[in-house]
Amino acid sequence: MKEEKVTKNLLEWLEIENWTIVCYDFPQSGTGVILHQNNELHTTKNKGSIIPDIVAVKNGIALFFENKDRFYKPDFEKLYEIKNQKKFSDSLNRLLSDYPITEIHYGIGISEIKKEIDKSKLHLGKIDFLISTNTEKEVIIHYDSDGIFSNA
Amino acid sequence: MIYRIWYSTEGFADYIIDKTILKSRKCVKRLLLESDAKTNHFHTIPDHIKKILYLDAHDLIIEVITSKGFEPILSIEESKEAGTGHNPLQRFARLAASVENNVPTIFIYPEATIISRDSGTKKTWDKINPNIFLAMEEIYETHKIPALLFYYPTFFKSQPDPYKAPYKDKGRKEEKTIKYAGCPDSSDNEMKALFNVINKIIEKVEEVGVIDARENLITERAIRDRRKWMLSEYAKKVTKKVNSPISATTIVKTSSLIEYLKSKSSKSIKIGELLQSRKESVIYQIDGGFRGDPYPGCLATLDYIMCRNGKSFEERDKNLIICFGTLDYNSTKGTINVTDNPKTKTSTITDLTDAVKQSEKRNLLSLDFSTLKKSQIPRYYMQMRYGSTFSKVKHIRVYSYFADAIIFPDGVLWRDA
Repeated sequence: MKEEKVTKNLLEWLEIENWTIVCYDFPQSGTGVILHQNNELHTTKNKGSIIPDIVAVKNGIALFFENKDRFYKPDFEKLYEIKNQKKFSDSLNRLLSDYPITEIHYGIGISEIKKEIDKSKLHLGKIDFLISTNTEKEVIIHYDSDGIFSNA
Repeated sequence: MIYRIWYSTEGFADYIIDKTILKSRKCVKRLLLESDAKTNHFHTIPDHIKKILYLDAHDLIIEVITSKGFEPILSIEESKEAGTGHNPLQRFARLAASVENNVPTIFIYPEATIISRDSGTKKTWDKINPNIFLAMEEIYETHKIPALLFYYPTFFKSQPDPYKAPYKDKGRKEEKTIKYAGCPDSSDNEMKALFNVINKIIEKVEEVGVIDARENLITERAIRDRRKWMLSEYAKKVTKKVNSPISATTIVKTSSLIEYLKSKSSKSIKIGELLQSRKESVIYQIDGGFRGDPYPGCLATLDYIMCRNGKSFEERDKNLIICFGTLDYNSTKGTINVTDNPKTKTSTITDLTDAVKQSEKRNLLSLDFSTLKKSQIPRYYMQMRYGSTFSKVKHIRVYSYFADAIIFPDGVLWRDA
């Protein structure tokens, strides 16, 4: 299942779960919002910038997704850096300025393929949640460190 | 009769199928692989589709499959970018490639897009560069094959104040259904006109066959009306200001160009007849680092707007030259000099040859048969026929197709014939 389908399945599911979609992106869509590094690190126009695959909000909580059709280690590392080094905090705050957000959680969306999920589970320490989806549009929460999806 | 829809995003393929009479036809969808430079499976793309992809890949190609064979009948390109400067022309090479292969093409582009600057404190509607209308008219007129533009729906007309217009999606009107995420709002009149034209093309193909349809499409009322609308949009939007990429060109005497080419290669070298046959040359100056987008599309645009005199790139009344560096042309003395601009990134001819070399890593032709993986055999065979035609990166393909010469401060390339 292509990344486009993973993202669309998750968007549909988030809407059913009453999350508000702030922005989304998938390959070739041209829909994404570019987040620049904070001013002190922002050197040239789009250098080092990122485009989140989904940002959604609900009850003061924001979700930040990186989605793939397979396990992709750099995405885990990227989310860990974004969360801990806060390099994109200015852009993210601007993006979320219309919503009263108290916390942001970072996680991965992936195709429901066992071996890819097993590989992903070896890197859970870097993310807040891991969610998969399949061609039947089912969504499975494999990891939710802060209970966001049961409490939000 | 079956329609095969080649796509880069499946949602856009679903959108076009569901909103046109294709919904009532038998359709199959297939992912469009861009080139042999990016994937190991490009050889599986049918030859007639490969030909349209020679310069650049489209967002969507509609192909009809009948008992007589396979024929592409339409290509569609969709963009959401702001339309100022080079942006709308960036994809022009793929539009031209489609029309040059007798396949009508459609370009969906916003009339204006809201751009936020200075951390959101300044907002403007960035408007489309009217040269895209001129360029599309030139390919339409040159090849007598429809090349039509439709505006991606926006709030620009209904709310010209960018501070009052909805900023979500930069002022674009997009589909709400997630299945069509990122696609233009299908209830907008521009999209209704687009679906009508697509339906007319399909009906014509079904009525008289692909070949006759191609020859007759330009007389279809819906297509003639859209062409007239495009010309009127150009007339409305064009001003005395010279827009890019024309603003980045200099017309020089070809004799001056020949002297420059000799000075950078050998005084005794004999330059071939092609360049010499045209008295003037258009030099497109890129004062920055050697790279691809948006320049390949702009080069193709300049060919059709300023040089092209017939269906083939050989039929030009002026040479088309691309220059990486600062061009200094003294028309009185007839001298050309190209230097590095210390304020911008320096380009050297090595940057170009490195990109060519990089592409050659995709080449299987130097391998012994015994070392080829079994899965590589059909790819090897494709390369045996086409060489590196599809294996080079896009900008190398486009530059070498459109430019009669490429000049740098430290070196030059040109074609003799």
